[in-house]
Amino acid sequence: MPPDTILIADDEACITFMLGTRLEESGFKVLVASDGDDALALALANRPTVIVTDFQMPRMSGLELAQRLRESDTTRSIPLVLLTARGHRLTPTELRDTNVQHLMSKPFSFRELLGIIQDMCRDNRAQRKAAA
Amino acid sequence: MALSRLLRTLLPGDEVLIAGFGLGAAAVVVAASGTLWWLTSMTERRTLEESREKMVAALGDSMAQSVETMLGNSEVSAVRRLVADAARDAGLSVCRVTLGDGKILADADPSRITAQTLPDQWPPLIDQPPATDGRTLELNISGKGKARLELVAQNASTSLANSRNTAVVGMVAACSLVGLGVVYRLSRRRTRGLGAIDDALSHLSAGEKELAALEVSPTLGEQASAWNSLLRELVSLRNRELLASDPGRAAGGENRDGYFAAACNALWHGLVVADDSLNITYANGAAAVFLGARRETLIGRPLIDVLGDSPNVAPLRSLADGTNRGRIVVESPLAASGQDAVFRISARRLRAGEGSGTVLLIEDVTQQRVADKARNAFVAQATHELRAPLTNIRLYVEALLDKPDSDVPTRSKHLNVVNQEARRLERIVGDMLSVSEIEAGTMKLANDDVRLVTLFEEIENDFRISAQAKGITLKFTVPPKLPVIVGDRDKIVLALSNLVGNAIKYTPAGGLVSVVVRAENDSLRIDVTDTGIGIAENEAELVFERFYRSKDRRIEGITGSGLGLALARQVVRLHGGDITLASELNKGSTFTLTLPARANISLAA
Repeated sequence: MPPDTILIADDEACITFMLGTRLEESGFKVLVASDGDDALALALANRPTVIVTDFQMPRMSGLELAQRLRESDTTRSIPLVLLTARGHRLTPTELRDTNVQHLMSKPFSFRELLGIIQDMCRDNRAQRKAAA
Repeated sequence: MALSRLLRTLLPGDEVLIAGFGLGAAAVVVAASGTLWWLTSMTERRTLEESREKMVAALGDSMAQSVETMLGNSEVSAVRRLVADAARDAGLSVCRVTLGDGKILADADPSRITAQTLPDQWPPLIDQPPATDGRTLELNISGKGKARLELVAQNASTSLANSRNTAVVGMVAACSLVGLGVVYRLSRRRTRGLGAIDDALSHLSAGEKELAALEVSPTLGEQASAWNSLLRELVSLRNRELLASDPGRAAGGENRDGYFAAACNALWHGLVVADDSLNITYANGAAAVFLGARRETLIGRPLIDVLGDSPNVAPLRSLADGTNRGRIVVESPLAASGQDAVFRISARRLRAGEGSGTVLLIEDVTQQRVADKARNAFVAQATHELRAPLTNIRLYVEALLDKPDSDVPTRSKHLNVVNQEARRLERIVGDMLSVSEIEAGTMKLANDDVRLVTLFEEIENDFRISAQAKGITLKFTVPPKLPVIVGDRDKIVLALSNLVGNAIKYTPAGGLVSVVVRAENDSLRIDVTDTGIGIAENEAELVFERFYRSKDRRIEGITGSGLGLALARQVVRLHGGDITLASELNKGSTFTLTLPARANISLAA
């Protein structure tokens, strides 16, 4: 069984480095983007299983990315974890018609994030099995 | 009625009454005079007739004798002359001599003579009824026959009375006219005053509002003066009423009220007074400006309409029914001042005993709200900036704890990140403190001996990892020997860190950030050059403004408080130096920081 691919998007290099290193150690294939544009291009090209993105990024915000993913059949159903500063409140209206499935406040624990990603990958496999 | 109508057309309305009275009086006088005249004339007539009868009798007797003599001598023409003379002199209507057959021998009127000459045979006298109002005498002419002398006195009393009657009526009429004139003259002043008042009243009923315009000339008499003083009393009453509701319009009134009106108008806050039904009764100049209307046009308009339909002002409606007697404070834009302006409207109904109505104070709080928004944005931004290093510290420490057996280079790398992020936290906290110090005006500079070489090593160390992570070359060119300067070390680090941090932040991967330090004579010059996105010329000064962030779309999503450059310049200027900018869009920017070698520190901001 091929490993699940996780796309990480954040303009903080230290974060993508650490998350990438630890996700690879956990058996995932990792893609890294430093802004929203990059992330959208990588998502369309590689169709990752899960996307983890920061809210505040250059060029395209994490929320905008989550909306743009809906525009393509390739990426419409990819679950997304949005990392936000706790001070930033997102309204249900803002989250409607996006891929956002989980909001996570910074700072966060890697183990907590890993648990969420693993759940999402399991759900994804179950759905594919049901469809097949 | 016809008379009064005639008088009305001839005389001014106010004089009809008086003229009527005058004429009435004259009529009474005329009637009395007439009666008197009639009584006297009746008596006089009788007397006159008696004396006339006597005179005609006497005249007849003397004439009879003369005529008998003359006719005896056949002197007809002499008789005729006598008759004519007597008739004329005595004023007789009939004076004639007739023969027995009725022929007229002599007459006062010669045309009536029918017997031209004396007859040869004198006819006998025919019986004739005696004249009613005259005298008929029988003449006996010796040797000839009989004739008759008729005398009828002219209706002298009638003619006399007629002329006298005319004179009396004329005199009475003249007296009446004189009396009327006197009455008119006497009443003239009074009636003119009343007429002027009558005119004023008709103006009043025609809608004249300005009471002062209704005053009449005081020379028109007592009534005019009384009317004027009545008017003045009314005017002062009305003014007092106006003052109670509208001190502003009474600027020309008593000094005290004018003073308060001027004071209200000079307020920079809007002041509005409304009545119980929330209709505006007063608005000062500032209120008129805020509400976008001239003061006069605001008066009488419903307050709620004027304030606009913003839901924010809805609570003010509760003032109308009088249930809410507390203070209501709302904040709302006003239609007339645009959506960006924010006003705080405080309203309170006057309590019983204070009068009726509602007082509103309108304050422009736009600037306060802008500052609040900037402060809130700064706090949100600052917390976000704090979360980024905290996230890194937590992730890297978690990794170290999860893998205690990882190799030394990995552990060392993780610890470095933790150290670097802790320094970043320090800087952010320092920035926030500096902002609050500058905002509060309490920034003080420490007097440290600053060893510049060490300082630049530290800064290079702080940014090396983040530059590497972004694929940016960070190059420091620092001369081996630099002077020690006196200044606030933390603040200088803050300023330099902001410049270097910005350079890395706004330079794409693969770029170069160089820091060149030069000691020049008495000053230190530091150029921080990047190959980033650059800053448009029109924003070159604006980027030093507090909370200003470039409008360049490429920096959307890049975190920043809008404070870094403002703070950096502020602290460098406090040291007697400055920060200047040379930039070209898409090529990069150079921020030049100069510091006096012996920094002349101003101890307070």
